[in-house]
Amino acid sequence: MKIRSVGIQNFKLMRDVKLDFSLDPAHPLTVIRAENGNGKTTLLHALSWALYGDKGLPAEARNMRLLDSSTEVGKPERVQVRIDFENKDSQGLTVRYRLIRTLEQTLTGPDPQDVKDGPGSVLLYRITDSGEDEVEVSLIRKLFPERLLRVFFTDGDGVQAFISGSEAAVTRQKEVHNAINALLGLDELRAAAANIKEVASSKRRDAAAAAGGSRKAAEEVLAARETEEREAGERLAECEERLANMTVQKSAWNKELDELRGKGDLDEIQARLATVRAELTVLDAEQKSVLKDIRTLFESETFSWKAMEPVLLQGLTCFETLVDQGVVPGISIEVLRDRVNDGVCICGESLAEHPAEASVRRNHVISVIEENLSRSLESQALTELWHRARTSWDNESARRVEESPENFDDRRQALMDRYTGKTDQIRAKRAEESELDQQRTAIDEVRVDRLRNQIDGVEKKINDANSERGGLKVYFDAAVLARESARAAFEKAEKEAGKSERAELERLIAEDLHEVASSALKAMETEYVSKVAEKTSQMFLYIVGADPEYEAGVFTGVTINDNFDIKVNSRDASLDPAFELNGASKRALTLSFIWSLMEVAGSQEPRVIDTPLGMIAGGVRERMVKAITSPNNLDSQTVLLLTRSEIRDIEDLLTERAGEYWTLTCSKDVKDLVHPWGADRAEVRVCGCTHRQSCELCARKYDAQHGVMFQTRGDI
Amino acid sequence: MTVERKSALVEALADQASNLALRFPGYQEQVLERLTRIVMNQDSYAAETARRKAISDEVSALADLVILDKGAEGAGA
Repeated sequence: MKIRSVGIQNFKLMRDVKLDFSLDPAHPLTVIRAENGNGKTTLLHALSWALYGDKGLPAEARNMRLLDSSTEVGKPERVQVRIDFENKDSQGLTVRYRLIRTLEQTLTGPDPQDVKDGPGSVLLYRITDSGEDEVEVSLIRKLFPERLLRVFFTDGDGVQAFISGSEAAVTRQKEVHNAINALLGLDELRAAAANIKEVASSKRRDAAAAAGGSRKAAEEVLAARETEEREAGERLAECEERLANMTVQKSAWNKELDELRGKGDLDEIQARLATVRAELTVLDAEQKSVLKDIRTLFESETFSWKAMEPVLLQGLTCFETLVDQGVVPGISIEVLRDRVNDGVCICGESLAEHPAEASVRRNHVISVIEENLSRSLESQALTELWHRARTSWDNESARRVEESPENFDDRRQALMDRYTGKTDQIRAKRAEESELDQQRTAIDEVRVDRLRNQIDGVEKKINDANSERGGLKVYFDAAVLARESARAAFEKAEKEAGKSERAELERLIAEDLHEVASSALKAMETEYVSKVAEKTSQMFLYIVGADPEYEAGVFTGVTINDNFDIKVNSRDASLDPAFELNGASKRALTLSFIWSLMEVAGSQEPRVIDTPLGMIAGGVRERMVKAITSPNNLDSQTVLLLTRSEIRDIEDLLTERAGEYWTLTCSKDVKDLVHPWGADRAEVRVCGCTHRQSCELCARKYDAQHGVMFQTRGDI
Repeated sequence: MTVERKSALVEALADQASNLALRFPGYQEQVLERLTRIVMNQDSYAAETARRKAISDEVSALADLVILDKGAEGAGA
């Protein structure tokens, strides 16, 4: 089976993308180059959605929008994926099909789950020379069994579900078992064996009814025990299925939580934020305290003296001048009047009206009295002020001598330094608080809380289911024993009873058929598992470059045990791939398993793998690509979705193996694109550039370091 | 189911049919043919009851053959 082409409309950022895939048996590889976030995973999901519907999408993406988030809210849009593929029928003739899955969606809000599904359809057509004939869609399930979703369409991480990851061992074993059964066509044989067994039971009941008596009673007991056993087995299987599903769901939620935590541990950020805010409160209080001290200082007498000192000194100087001029201290008018009345001056000279000499003195004193009378109020006030100023200044000078040597300036400077220091500390803390706030905003707190609650809830359910499973297993084992006992009783009764020939004959024939079918099933499982293990071993050793004969080597082979556990053998021990292999070896092992399984099964289904070469470099990378792209007699098709980094150093090999090349580019990468191209909304577009080329659409600033040559569209 | 897978399945059924001690060893070929048909037709019926009815019919047809042969043997004797 081969995918011929795909057409995608309005699936995420792919508004109109069309790709053809290589059909050339000599060049079975299709290379789709895209950088991270440029449509590789979208393409993978679009293909698996078209084939499997919602089940083709990762668990966390189901029931969410398929449209791009920038689609207009409230406006219905049609999502459509068309896949043209071909398949060989039982006569070996090639038949072409076209699958078209369509779904109308309307966004109702900004969140991924804010979407309303409208009408949808899945149509399958057989394409003939005369046109298209609609055929049963159920054919898709036969051609692409649902259980093989992870085999056909996977990515570098998802591919490891067969051997590692956080999934429980029982889930991994189930994946391997399912893949083997589905690919090798054992499901039909298993179903047939189960149905034949039911028919055999039915025939046995018929035979017993015909025979009557104790045999009939024994048969009824046996039938009842078989029913009990079947029901107990179904309950046990249902519980295990539920347990496995819950484990897968828990794993998906844990993965999402880990991704969210990758942006920072929310608890740690919250704790740091609380600490920073407490520190800010203390700093604020300390800053206020310093401010209070500063206010006190500026309200103090010391500050007033400091502030007024130049003015006071200037005032005192003025007073000295006034003293020199005799304005202050002022003369007492009353004393002068007394002197005039007494006729004797303070100096003892006469101030009488006669003689003339005394009269001159008397007139001078009277003129002084008159002069002073005109200015007495000002003089008195000035004199009082002069006295107070001089006394205060003398007191202040004395106080300064007695007090601490730390003067006002020192105290002010110390307080200002403390204030500035606190301000700087607060600024730094605010910046830290802002950064932490941004980190916290980047984490979707609601989603983290919801995931935690969901994980807690599912863990509790898993514990409950484990307990339930234990009880059911005990009950089932008891039912098996009871059925075996009833069977022995029935066989004993059978011998004693007479035989109803026709019914008995049919019973025996049915039991013969069941024995052949169930034995063939067991043989095929054993034989095929052995073949798959052998091929897996060869391919794995080749890819990792191991030589089993080399004494100092680590890997000697791969086995798959009866529980469908894949193990890697070392010298004297077996290694658990989940914990004891590095990332590259894990990918090598799982891809080897998938390829070997498909080869043993003769499967021609296409294999589409997203970013398979991450964490893989050097010889391992080259050998891996050689192994999974080599032309083979199955004429199978491989599609690799690769980044420029993954392509590096294997360009020649890709040129040798690939028959089709495409490059996906998203307009959002404006910083990396050499020629950013305008689009109203982010969009993924496709061009036909090979892994060595670039054009106006896809050229990146770092192309040169990947050996990519620019060519204009016309050259491509 | 591909041609290769079908032939592998038929081969496995044939191996088991010849290795196991069947109650009616003379009908190996018939058992194999009908068993193969049963397996191949598993997904031809949507309902479980229809699948079992088809199996029951195959079993009855085999029983008819056995009875017929026994009758023929009896007549011959």
